[in-house]
Amino acid sequence: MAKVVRKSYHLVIPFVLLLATWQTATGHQLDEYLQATLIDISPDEVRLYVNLTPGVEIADHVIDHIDSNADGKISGDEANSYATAFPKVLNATLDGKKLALQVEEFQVPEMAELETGWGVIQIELSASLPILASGEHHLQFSNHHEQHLSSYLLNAAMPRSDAIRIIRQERNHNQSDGRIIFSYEAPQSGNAAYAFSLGMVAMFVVLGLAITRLKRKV
Amino acid sequence: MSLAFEGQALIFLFLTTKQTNWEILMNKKLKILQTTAILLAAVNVASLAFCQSGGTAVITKGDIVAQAENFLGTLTEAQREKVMYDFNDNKQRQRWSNFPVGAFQRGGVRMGELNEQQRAAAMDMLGAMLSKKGYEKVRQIVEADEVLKNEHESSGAGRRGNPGFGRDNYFISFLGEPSVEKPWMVQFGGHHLGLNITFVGEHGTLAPSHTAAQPAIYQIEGKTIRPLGGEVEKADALMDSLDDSQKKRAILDVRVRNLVLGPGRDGQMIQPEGLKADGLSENQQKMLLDLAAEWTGILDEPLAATKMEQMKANIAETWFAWSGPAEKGSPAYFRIHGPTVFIEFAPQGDGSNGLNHIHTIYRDPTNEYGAKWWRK
Repeated sequence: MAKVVRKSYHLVIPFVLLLATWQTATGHQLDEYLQATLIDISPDEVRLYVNLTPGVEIADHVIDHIDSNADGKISGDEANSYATAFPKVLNATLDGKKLALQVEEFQVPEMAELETGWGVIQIELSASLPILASGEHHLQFSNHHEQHLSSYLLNAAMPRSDAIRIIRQERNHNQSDGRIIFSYEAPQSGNAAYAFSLGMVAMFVVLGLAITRLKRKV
Repeated sequence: MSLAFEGQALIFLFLTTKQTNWEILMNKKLKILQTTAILLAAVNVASLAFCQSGGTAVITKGDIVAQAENFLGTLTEAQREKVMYDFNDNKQRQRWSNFPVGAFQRGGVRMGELNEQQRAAAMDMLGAMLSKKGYEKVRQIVEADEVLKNEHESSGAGRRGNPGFGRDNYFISFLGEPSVEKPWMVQFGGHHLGLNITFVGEHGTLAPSHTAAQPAIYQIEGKTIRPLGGEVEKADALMDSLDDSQKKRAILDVRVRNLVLGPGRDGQMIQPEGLKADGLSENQQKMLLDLAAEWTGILDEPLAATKMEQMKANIAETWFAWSGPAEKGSPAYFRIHGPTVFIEFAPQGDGSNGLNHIHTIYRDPTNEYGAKWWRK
């Protein structure tokens, strides 16, 4: 194989001239609370994967909310309280009917990590869906948690089920609110076909009996 | 190559025999020899073509594995223990990030712990695994972080300690032993870089990997360095080539301020959006593939070429999305999303400084960590 590899890891930079300056204001969106939500729709439930990243300049504000007893540590109970309170500021509806979001899993980093502005709080939520009729459905979602200091990402996950197809996504400009329009196609399962056949047989038997009775009466 | 040599010798024998004595050719034994010669010639031609096209098995055996073993051979027993993980260690496989080491602890051996000979061997190994251009990009990302470290220290912020910037704070780890047959993996990462390179026999992939840079524009000895400059220029050129109708479909009506599927989002995939590439001209499709090659081309050339063929085959099902101003040089987000490729480019900030701090991600929706080649 012809390959020229020059090893210059020890590249010395004695005359580095920076074009950029250390950016305390713009780098990593330090003054924002980034809330990224991925919505995974399946035929029987919807799952939300939420990553919350408080930038270093607002990390103390978020920590104050989590560390309710202000002892400088995030206990398991405090992490649990923050995660379980989170769904209360969300709103999710399917075809206009409110969905009950429940926390499935969560992970809250240690305080020292959150203070750096690089800590990520992860919360996984789910809501059971009613039995879906075949056709188009609308899933509406809004997140107004810490709205005054947040930026948002809101995306539909690629459906894992062939029965679900995302038609389009509509979101407001900052992605705090959005609607996923999707279609559901009920699978023609073997069981359903069997039940249908049985039903038809039963119907014919009942009809036959009725006709026989009528003939006897006549 | 001995097989090829034998084939060539037999071809020569066959040809000369044919010219000198036709009757002998009728001899049964020579007929067998003739058939063998033809078969070996075919093998010979095929093997030569394989070598010329950069057959991956040859490269894996001859260079990459040897360089990896060479690097491992320079390590002390204690360092080797730190660097090696079981191939099935999924926790370590997913332990990579865009964050500096102060905020996210990697596994493996730290470059700062290595002596000069060991560092050189480590870089030789990376050089064998990556294309020349890819190796240069990685080196420039690491140097950008050294620049960031120096700037951080000189700004006074360094009094609070180094959050883990700089060329010493990159880690190497192995999952599995280097092998021409069994699956194995090398991770090289630190702040703004997370390379996950998996090899399985003749196959190899870089997915998922994270590249980024801050500063994304700096100078060394009067020369301007832009580790992700190719990405910016090619994306600008592609956007410039779109007509109004294409732009309307490509530009999302939402503001995308960061990576959607960055580090930590393994196993997730989003719905494609934007402009589908079947609505692009042939030239625009080439531009889109060339832009994607800024990521897929980081890997060794023959493996990158295989990936390119795969992306070409799926071009009609590939999407291009853009968020932000469309003017050249603007800090805008973009995404390339096809059946076997997912790329995001996210400037970290607004205005003129936005393009001086960039995060990107490369994934393969069908084959993260080369799992389709090794998962039972």
